[in-house]
Amino acid sequence: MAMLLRRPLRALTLPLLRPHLSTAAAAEVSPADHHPDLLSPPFGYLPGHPRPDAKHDELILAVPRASPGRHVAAKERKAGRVPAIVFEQENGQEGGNKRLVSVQSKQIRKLVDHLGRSFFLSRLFRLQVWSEHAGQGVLIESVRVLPRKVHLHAGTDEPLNVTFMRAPSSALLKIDVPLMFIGDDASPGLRKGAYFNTIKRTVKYLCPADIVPPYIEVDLSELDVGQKLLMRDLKVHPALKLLQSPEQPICSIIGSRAPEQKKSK
Amino acid sequence: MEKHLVMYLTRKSIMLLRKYPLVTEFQVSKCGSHIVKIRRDVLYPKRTKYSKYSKCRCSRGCEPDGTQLGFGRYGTKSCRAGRLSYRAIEAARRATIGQFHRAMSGQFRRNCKIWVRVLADLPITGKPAEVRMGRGKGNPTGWIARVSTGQIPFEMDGVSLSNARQAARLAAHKPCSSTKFVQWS
Repeated sequence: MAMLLRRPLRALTLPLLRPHLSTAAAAEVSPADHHPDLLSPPFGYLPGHPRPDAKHDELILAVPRASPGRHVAAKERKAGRVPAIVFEQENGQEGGNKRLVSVQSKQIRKLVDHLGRSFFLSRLFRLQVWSEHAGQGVLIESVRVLPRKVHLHAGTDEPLNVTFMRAPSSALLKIDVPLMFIGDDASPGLRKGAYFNTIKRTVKYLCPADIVPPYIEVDLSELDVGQKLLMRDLKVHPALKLLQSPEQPICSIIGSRAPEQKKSK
Repeated sequence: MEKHLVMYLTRKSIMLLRKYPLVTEFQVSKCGSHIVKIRRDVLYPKRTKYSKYSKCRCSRGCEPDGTQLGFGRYGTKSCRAGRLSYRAIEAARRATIGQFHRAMSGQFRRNCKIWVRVLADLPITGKPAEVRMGRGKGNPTGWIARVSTGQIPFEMDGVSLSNARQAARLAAHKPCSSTKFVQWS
């Protein structure tokens, strides 16, 4: 585990040192000073890491739902709303302080369509619960939430159910972070005609709520034929804890299959 | 009723079939020669437990497995429940591979891949022409695969978005069923 934390620190020290080098204050900077700052709150996004797009920072308006059940849910869907539930991680055995709400179907569908399903489930939103529709009446609750699960119709992709989890700053969330592969046009292995084999598209991390990564960039520009990337090679914030085995591969570049295809002709 | 319709193909065999999507003569043995038979490059089981089955409803039952992309980045999703015959599946697969070959001529990525996630292992019967009704069920004439709404029959990877969309469009014309293009997101 210590090796997992040390490796990103070495890579991350260089960007932090650059502004200090220009001001000739390099002697005062040591990696030990930055180590506790990165691993203790308050957390912040590091430079060079992906952060949430401000374009999709939307306020999700919700209204309380009276009762559960499939008949009430069907009426909500017919009225253009999605039945949802908000709960929190603490006190889960007693229901997690859950609240039944309804959110606008158009808003959820727009977010899922624009962001994508996996990217929608890996970022935080601000949720406001009002007593009446369209943000009128009395504000009951205003909280930052993580979409835990979204249930879409198989044929029409209409949202049927959304599950939100409250995300205060002290929460640790298990998030399936999607991977974005970049640099495939500059990869020497892919230029030789090798096959890019994607093994994992998401990686599960335990994230503090303030630095939830929207995605993780995987650089392929230095991969050659026969090489692969493991989960420990990902560049993430050191406060993120990998919940899967660090030895699992996420992608590999394997040899060409061209002779086999010619034979099938 | 459904419990009596026990298929001869086991889950492991079907997973093996998924593992080798471009099945050729050489690869037939990997799926087991007692399961798969090749007649003019069309894939269907050599033997099933019963030769005549009830077809049941295509869209009834639980939520179908295979409504999300699991192997490739792009795929086609059926908008309507229905049947896919083995000839239609093979025609769609060939149309997709043909588009891949056209795409590979100008691309730096030359390893396209297609996954066929449906298997036509259900025999259908029919009576010959000019035969009157009665005298029992007809003889087997073909094989179909039941496809539910939202099920993904084809997935593809290793190709750009425009070529994948074109391949999906060509493949959508082969089966008499409406499909739409989906991509992982």
